[in-house]
Amino acid sequence: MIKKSGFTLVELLISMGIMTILIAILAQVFGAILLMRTKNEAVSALAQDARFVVQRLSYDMARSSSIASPTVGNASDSLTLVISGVNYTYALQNNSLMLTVGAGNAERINSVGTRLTSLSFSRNDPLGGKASVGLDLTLLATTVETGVQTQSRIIRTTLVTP
Amino acid sequence: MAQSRGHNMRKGQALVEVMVGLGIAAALMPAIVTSFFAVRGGTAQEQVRMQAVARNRESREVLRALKEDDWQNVSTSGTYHLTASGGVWTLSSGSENGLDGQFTRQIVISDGYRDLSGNLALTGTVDPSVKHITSTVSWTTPIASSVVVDYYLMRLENLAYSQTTVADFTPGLLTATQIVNSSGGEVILANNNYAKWCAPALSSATIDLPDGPPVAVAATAYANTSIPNDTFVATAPSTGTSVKMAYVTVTANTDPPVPTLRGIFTHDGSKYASPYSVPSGTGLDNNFKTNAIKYYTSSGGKTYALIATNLPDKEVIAVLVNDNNPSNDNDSSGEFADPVNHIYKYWTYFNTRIYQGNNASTPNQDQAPFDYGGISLAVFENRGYVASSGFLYTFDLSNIDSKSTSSGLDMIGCRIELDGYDCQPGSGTDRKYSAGQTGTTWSNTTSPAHNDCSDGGNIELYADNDIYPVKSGTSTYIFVAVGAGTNPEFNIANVTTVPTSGTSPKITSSSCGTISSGNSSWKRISSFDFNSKSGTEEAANSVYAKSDGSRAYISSNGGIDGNGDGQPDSYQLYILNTSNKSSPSFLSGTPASGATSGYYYGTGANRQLYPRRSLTVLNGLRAVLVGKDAIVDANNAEEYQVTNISTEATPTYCGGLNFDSGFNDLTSVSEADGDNFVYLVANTSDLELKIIQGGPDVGQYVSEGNFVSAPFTASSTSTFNRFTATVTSPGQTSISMQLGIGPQVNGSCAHTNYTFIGPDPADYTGSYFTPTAGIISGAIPLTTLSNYANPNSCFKYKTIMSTLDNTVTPSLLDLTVNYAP
Repeated sequence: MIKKSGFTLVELLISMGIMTILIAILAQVFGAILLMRTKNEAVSALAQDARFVVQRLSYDMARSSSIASPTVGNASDSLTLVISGVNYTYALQNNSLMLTVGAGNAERINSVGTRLTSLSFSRNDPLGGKASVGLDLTLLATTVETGVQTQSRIIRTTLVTP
Repeated sequence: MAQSRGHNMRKGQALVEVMVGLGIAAALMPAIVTSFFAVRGGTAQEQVRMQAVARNRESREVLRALKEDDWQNVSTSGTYHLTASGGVWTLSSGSENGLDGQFTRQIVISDGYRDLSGNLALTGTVDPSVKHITSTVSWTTPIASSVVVDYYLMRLENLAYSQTTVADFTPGLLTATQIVNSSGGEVILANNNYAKWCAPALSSATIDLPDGPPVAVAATAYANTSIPNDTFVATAPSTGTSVKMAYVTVTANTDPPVPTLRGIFTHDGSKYASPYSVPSGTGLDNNFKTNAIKYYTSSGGKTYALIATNLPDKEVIAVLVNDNNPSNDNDSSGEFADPVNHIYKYWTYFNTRIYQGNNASTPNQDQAPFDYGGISLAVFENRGYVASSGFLYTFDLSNIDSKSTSSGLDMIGCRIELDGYDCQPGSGTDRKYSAGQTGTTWSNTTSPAHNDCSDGGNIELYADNDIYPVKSGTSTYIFVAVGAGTNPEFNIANVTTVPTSGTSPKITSSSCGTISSGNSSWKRISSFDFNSKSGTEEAANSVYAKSDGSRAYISSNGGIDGNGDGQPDSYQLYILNTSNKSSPSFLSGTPASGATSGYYYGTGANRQLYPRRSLTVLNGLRAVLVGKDAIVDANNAEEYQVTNISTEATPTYCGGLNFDSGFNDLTSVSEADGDNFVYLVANTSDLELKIIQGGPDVGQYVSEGNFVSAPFTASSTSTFNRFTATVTSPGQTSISMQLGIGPQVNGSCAHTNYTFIGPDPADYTGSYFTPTAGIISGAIPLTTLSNYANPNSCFKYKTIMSTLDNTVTPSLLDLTVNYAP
């Protein structure tokens, strides 16, 4: 006769133990994935903003007729380009890169996903009538990752008028 | 047992399954966990990478700016990094470490190559306008890696330099070309002024000769036109004149020509620099006149000046002016008796005699009555001819190298009697020194009367004013312009067959060479006696033979208005038909009533010149007469007159020069390149040698010329890419260009030595850019050849123009060169 019986206690305990372990692992994996997603958002925002800021500056410099500030050999926390006779000033305000066109209101250049902690412009012109602006900025992600250092990006480059 | 074993096995399977699952999980977990860490670490790496990319962008931006500032900033291959100093970016060699505390940044510049299709490639031909850039930013943490950007920089600038206006072209070097402004400034062939014989101009080149005024001039050109012309001038019009001869070379193919006095001949001891002195024992003092001059180059390559003198025992002297040995030019073992003052050596002499071998040791055995000596001189093949006192003497030049001051030149044959006699000044009569007479035996030739030695002017002081040798077939003739006295004005002597002791008459016979009894192949075979247009007796003073002997050109007495009609009686130029040597004639007209064609005489400003007159003929197209202004009237006649004889029946005045001092002699040389140069000796005591520069004598423009532009200096070393020139090239003309590019020398393109090249890689220097539909353009060769090197900073172009039709010229209107600095 074959005795029909349920799980033995031992079996149950073993199964539950295994399940617990698996669930614990999966929960950690799930948490890590969430964390990763958050981080990726931050990284994306930083990358996107970093590229945009550089491109935007490059674009404006290309169409500028002169650079009012900083002057050659000097550094400044703001950059003033003269485009079609109008001053375009890039400056750091409230952890944001703000562009002020003429007498208008300052407009934010970076996205809400990032904030600027430092901004510096320097002038070292190559010969030949071109202007070059050294750009040194630090972007921080606004998305805060608990328990992990906030994502940041440092951009140091030089842009030269065509 | 089997069942319980089966139960046992089922239970066992569940555990095994778990264990297997755990095993698989255990195998996968590290990978999963590692990937988590990798992703987390990758974020850090990405952060660094973004920063590195920004830094690399900086390299690229600044490098581009540096390139556009000056290609030289990036043209040298190597490894560099950026440095900013004083607000200026520059490139420094080596790589840069510790950038932003973590990066190593470097820019590697290397050559750019192009393949056979012209595409950029990693191997092939170096394109100097392309640089291959590899810009790297590398780091070691968190994970060692790098950002590499690989790209090319090119000279994208395309600057242009143009020349199109008169002001643009003016600083260039014009060689037989000129700049005109008929359509905004263009370069065309020069006007044919130099040797446009009918609009003559004295070259600015002239030279002062010692003593003078010079008496006679002879010149020669060489087959190689780069060798200067030789010019010999007899400089002693009187016995007291110190210097007897001057030897001048003239670089005829420069513009203007450059005459250089090479040396002189004199036996005046005061002219010698110590320790040199007049050679002793030569039997030649310095007390003689020079009547005529010619030159002779021996088979040994030695060149002699032959000078006809008034010396009775040395009617001709030979002076060595070039012993064909450059190594002794600075000492007295060569041609110089005094190498310091460049006084040449007296080499040997010719003393006239009745016949060959006749009392050779006894000077003064015959002629030189009235101290005239050798009057006219000619050199033909290896013989010399000298006319003296109505006789023609022939002497051998072939062995002149072996002769010396004590062993004179050998006479050939016997003397040949000519028409003409000498005037005995102060005697009241003119006297003939008759054939066969020697010593001081003279016969009075009072018929026809010449009673004051001035009939026709002082040309008549000389019996035979000029001789000109010519070959016709196998025979050699001497044309003679007979001056004073007897009726004939023109003689032809046949000097073909030298009489010997076996001929008839024998060489020693008193009838040898006489007009009446000489052998027809060694005597005066014909004479031509003609009257002036007014019927009075003529006299001739210069003769020139057409190269085939079919024509003789004679300048006549001139000057005298015997019939009182206010015009000179003579025509001053006759063209005689000498096709038949036995009976020369006018082209038309009778001797008694004068020529009816083939003559020329001028009136007014181009009227007759006063004797002594000389003549030369250029290419059979122009006859040039020089002399002094007649003193008959107040007109200021031209002393240099050109006659167009291209239509020989009607020679016409076509141009002249006023030179009041007058000219004593002239000669012309025809160069291998077709240029004719005329050398004149002026009747002055300074700047005596005058030159009329050679060139073709037809049309408005010279046949060829070139224009080398002023250098264009690029702001920095540049690649010269293309050029385009607008030109015109009417039929029969051609225009082509070559380009020269090189480095600055002493900071200037003006000092650069340019090699001009054309487009053909197989023959750069021998090829030329040529026009297509009025445009010369092309890619400028990127090569280095001799002094040509592109890229570089100095640019010149050379335009070569020529025309076969001298009435039209090609022209260069403008040129634009594109270059990339």
